[in-house]
Amino acid sequence: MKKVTDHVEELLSAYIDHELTEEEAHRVRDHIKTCESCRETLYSLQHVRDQLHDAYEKVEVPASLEQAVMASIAVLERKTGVANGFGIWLAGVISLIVMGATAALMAPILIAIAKFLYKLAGIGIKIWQTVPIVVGAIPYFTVILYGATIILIIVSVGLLLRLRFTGSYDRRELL
Amino acid sequence: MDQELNQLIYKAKRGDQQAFAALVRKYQGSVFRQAYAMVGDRMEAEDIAQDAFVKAFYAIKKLDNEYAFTSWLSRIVSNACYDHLKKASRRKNVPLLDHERKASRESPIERSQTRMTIRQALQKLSPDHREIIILRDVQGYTYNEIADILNIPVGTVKSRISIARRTLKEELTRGEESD
Repeated sequence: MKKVTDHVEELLSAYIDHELTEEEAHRVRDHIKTCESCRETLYSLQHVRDQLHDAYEKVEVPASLEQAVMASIAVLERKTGVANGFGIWLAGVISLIVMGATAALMAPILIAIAKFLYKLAGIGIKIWQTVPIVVGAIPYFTVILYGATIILIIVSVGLLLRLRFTGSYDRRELL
Repeated sequence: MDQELNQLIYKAKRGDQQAFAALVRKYQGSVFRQAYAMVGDRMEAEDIAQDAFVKAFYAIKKLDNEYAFTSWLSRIVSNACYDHLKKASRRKNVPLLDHERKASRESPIERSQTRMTIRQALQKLSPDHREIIILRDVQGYTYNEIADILNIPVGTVKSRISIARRTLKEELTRGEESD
């Protein structure tokens, strides 16, 4: 006769679910051949499993479930949309307030910068206005200017001709 | 997973409500069954199923693996059931309504009576044991899948299912004896 410790009750549930290792399943199969108690337990567990499966297999689903789900989603989406719209408006108003407040706080600095730039512009204009006076004070300024220009052109042409005919580099070096 | 289902999940992830409605149609039986088996009341189960689907609609964007959609949905239902059980100051025992029990007794089909009995017995299990035996025997998940859904080791799944079945067997035997 088998000892109590040889029973395989703790394996029977997994056995009927085919979730035992081959070795464990073999042990159960061997055991229930000779142990009526474990065999009875095995049958009753199988019966419980089948009953439970059958009891819920054909449960009727409420006809309105899909409609109810989609209606809930539609309501939530609308709320989210309204909340988003409100959020955009709120963000706009807050931005305007922040910009206004910043401008009010920065006003003295901005005014000082504007005054400085105005003075700078005034100095620039005055310098520009003195240029013709300075130029006019130099005698023969126009003649000197024309002469310098002609000399510069002649020198440039001379340098170009020299470069063209004498050649200052070996072409092969570049090939 | 078939191509059509994959497409539905893909579209639903991008907020396509029609695609999600198709998913609801496809899985409402499974979701409702799980919730009903867990709480034992049709009205409550409908609320849970609805809640679970709405949560799924907003969470589907985060679903990394489309192939795990069914087990992912089962996890949402499972969590929704637990939330419901926590919120409800639960009646301690059988949640079947009196008229349902009466109807079962009056039914000429003996099988219907058996169904009522197993449903009653199921409600006597602890939520953990009830949940795991539903995932196995009602939903048909493997031990590995259940371990993944509940985020527990397979060994725990194995022992919980074993205890749940034995408890159910004892409850049913007790019921027969008291009759």
